[in-house]
Amino acid sequence: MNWLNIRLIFCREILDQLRDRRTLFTVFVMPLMLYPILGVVMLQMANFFQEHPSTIRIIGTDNLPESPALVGDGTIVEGLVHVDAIRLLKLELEPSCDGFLAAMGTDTESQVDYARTRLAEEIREQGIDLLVIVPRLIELNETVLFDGSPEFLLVYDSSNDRSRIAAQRWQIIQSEWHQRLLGEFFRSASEADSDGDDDREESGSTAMVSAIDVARPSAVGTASWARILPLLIMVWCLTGAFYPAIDTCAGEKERGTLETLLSSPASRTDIAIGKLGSVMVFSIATALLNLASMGTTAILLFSQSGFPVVAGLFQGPPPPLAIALVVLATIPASALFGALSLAAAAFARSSKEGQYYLIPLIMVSMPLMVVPMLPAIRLDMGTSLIPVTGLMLLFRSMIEGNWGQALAFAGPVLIVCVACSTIAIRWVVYQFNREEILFCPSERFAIGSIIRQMFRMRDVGPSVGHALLCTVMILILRFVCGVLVSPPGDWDQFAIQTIVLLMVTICVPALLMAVILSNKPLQMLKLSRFRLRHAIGAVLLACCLNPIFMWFSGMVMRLYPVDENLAQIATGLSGIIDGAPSLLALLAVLAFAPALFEEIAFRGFILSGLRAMTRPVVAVVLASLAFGAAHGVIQQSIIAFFVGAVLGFIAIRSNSIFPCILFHATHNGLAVIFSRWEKFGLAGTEWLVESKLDGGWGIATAPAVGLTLMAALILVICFGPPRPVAESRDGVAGRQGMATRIAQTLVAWFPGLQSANRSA
Amino acid sequence: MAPRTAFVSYGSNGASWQPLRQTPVPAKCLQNTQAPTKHDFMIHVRRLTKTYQDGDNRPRPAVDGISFDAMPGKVFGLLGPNGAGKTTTLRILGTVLKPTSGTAVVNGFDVVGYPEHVRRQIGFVSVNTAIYDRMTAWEMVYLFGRLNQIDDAVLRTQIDWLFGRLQMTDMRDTLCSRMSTGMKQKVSIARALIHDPPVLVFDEATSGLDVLAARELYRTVEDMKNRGKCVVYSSHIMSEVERLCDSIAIMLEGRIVATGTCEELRDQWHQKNLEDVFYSIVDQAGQQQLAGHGAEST
Repeated sequence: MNWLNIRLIFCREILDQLRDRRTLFTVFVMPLMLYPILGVVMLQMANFFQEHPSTIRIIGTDNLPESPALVGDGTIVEGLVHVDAIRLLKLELEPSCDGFLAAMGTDTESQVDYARTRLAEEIREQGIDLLVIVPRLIELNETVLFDGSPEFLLVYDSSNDRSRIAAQRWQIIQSEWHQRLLGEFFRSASEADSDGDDDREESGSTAMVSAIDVARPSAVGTASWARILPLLIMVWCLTGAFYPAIDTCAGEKERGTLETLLSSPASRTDIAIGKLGSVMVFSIATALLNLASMGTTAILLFSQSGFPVVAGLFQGPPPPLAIALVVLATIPASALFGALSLAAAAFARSSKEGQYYLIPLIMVSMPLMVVPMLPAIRLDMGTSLIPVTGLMLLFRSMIEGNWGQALAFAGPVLIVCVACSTIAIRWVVYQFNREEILFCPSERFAIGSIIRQMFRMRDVGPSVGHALLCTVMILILRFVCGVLVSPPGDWDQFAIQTIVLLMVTICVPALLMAVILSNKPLQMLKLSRFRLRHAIGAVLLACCLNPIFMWFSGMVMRLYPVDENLAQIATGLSGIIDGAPSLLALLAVLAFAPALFEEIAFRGFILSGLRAMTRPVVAVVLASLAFGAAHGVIQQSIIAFFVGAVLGFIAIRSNSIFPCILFHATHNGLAVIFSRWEKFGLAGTEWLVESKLDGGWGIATAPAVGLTLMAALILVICFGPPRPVAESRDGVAGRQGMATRIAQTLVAWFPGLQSANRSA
Repeated sequence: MAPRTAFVSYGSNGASWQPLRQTPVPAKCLQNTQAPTKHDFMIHVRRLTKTYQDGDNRPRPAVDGISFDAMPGKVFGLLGPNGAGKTTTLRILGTVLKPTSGTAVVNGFDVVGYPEHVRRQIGFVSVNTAIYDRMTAWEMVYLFGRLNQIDDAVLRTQIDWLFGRLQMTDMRDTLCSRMSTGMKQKVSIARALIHDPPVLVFDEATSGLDVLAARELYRTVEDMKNRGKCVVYSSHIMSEVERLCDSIAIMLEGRIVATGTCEELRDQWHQKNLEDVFYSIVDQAGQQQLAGHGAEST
């Protein structure tokens, strides 16, 4: 990296954007103008709306007690609501409710029908928003007050805004009056007490206290700001980054200046980082200006009497520390969203195409931004590893003052943030090297041409597009079948369902596509001959890696605990599985069948397609992502991803999926056996297998370490790079060949070792 | 083998070009050069090939195994119709594209192994290389001067001299969006010349220019040739290639079908001008193709 070039490109991009009227308007002018205008409009609308009083007809006022009074002089009694609110209530009183109740009847359905008809008539002809019926005489009597029947019957129309608001206003009045009623009851009850002692008076008020809120008003405000500020920062950083990224990448391609820049001495990396810096600057500027303008407008707006609830929630402007943390939060947020926006923009061939990528980016980002708003979510190791979510929760903790929690997880959050940004920037550099992105105009989608090509090119392997299509088909089928198929009732149902679902949702799409697209479907699916050492190595590797996978599985379960509903379903299924007639039946359904069908699809078809257009490592990662996604449950998906990575490695080294089937079947089989070790375990294996803290069984620690080392050896011996022919003929060279083989394997996996060795 | 100087920057003292800085070539660049370099050649291309996937996903060569050499102090012309592969070839030399196979060495640097060094050797002017609309002429040239590691003070002097030489002083503070096509082309040329590269590439540089502006460009090309630069000039306009180029390669469908000086080509094909030479070559190629198809069918 040449920092001078990066600085030059950064300054150029900043200068260029500052001379663009659209950028200036979007970043500077719009925030300063938009929110004050919106605020004025909202105020006017709120005032306009609030000036409409609610008309309430109370039927059966004769049933109301004299004390505490509810209505007096044709209006609500003072003290039940704010003085200003009383003028928003117009009452019409009807002494008796007998006629109404008689017309309503006793049947629930007829009651609703009558109420609907009556209210519609009242709304239309009389302008009534709410009917309040007092169906029974309310007395200060224990039997009457606590017999469970309602004191009021409200008839309103929730689809009508005025009716709904009238109901809300009445419920505030009703709640306050009910408190007074109970107070009156207990007071009269105490007066009727025959003790005559003074502690009734000394005990003070008979007011009922239902709750004590220990939060200080400032803490209430801080908590509210802590929820809303990180969300606003993320949203504004995302939107502030996207359009500059589009302009600086796709826009440059359209204007033809990208080729000019690429022909300069600046490297692709320098260009990408320089552009990232400029996008970050505008992202931060957008976020802070919008926040300042919106915040100032909101504070002025909510301090008006028309928004007492919101004003009470935020208790004034955010504390200075929150503001400082918000400014700080813009840096990692803008880096992350800037990198992601550049990655999307670099892939686009034109500005128009780039704008379409905003929607998928928002669709991916919004759930991650909404999750921290949920009340049960807090910052822990699991959430700190989720991009965007972890960052929001980190700053929320800091704003709330939970510094211990924040500092404990700041490391993982920032590592994830940096990792995602780095991957995105590497993608940008990769796109800058792709000629079909730089120099090809936007493609036209011609379905006829695609189909003709599909049948013309039947003799080649699957393409990336085929692999992605197969993945999407699998995911959709899994989802649909998961919803439609009812849970099994016994083992036979479970077995048939599992095998059929695996076949239909996973194997059949891959098989069909292989048959349609290729003259040699077996070759396309990598159902080819394999070496014995690969097969043996796969089985041994599965056994040796089992302790690691079991440990990892436990860690995933601790980080992301299964929710209660899912745990109940799993318990039910476990009971059904216990009804399997034999171990062989169990392994056939849970080990062999998934191994066969999943490997045909994921390592056979999908990995082959991905390998056609990208490096093996990238193909393995993508195929593993697809494999994980197909598992549905997030905990299983994470574990499946890593298992899929090992399977992908085996598939590439062996060029056949049969070793993968063996590995997969062995891995699943061991998991099944260990989960039911008490039933299927062998005697005398206490040195090898022990019970774990989570209640399951697994390999003991010492043997696990040994097995892990054996796994490394198996990888080298069975899956290392191919041996040169000369070495295998010479016995002496064969002994030396093992060391050379290990060295070759290490160099093949870590190319940097070779250049480091040469430079040394 | 001691490192030799491969890149010499020249500045101006108002009268002649003076060396600004000499960058020694790292020894490893010479060791790892894929093809043997000859000192006389500034550009050395051997069996250069570039293939693309067409709409049916079949590989099609845009450049098919071409070989040529270009000398310093000479103008090498690349002539051919649209789609012949000229721009692709020049983009490979400019390291904007990577070749599928073959070698291309520019002043001792391999285009694949040392692309950043190659870019410092080349000033690239193409119809495809636009200028930044929201920058002034001075800012544009200054940026590329700094990207080529020229010191700030020296660069400012150099820009003033260059602008004077190219009659751009009046428009130095004009935004590029407000310039005419000819003015924009001058800015592109200035951008390409600011770091005084030993190799200059002009790809359809007169496209969109009027007669006067084109003549200015011709003068610039001749001037650079006289200063010892190696100039690669690509065009589909026969007359300007005939006027400017010392040696010519005619490309057709990704291949070089004829090379030589203008006189040699005219004599070889018994034609009066390069245009007629080109027609003869195309006709012959077409007949050969037909003959080939006829042989296949029988």
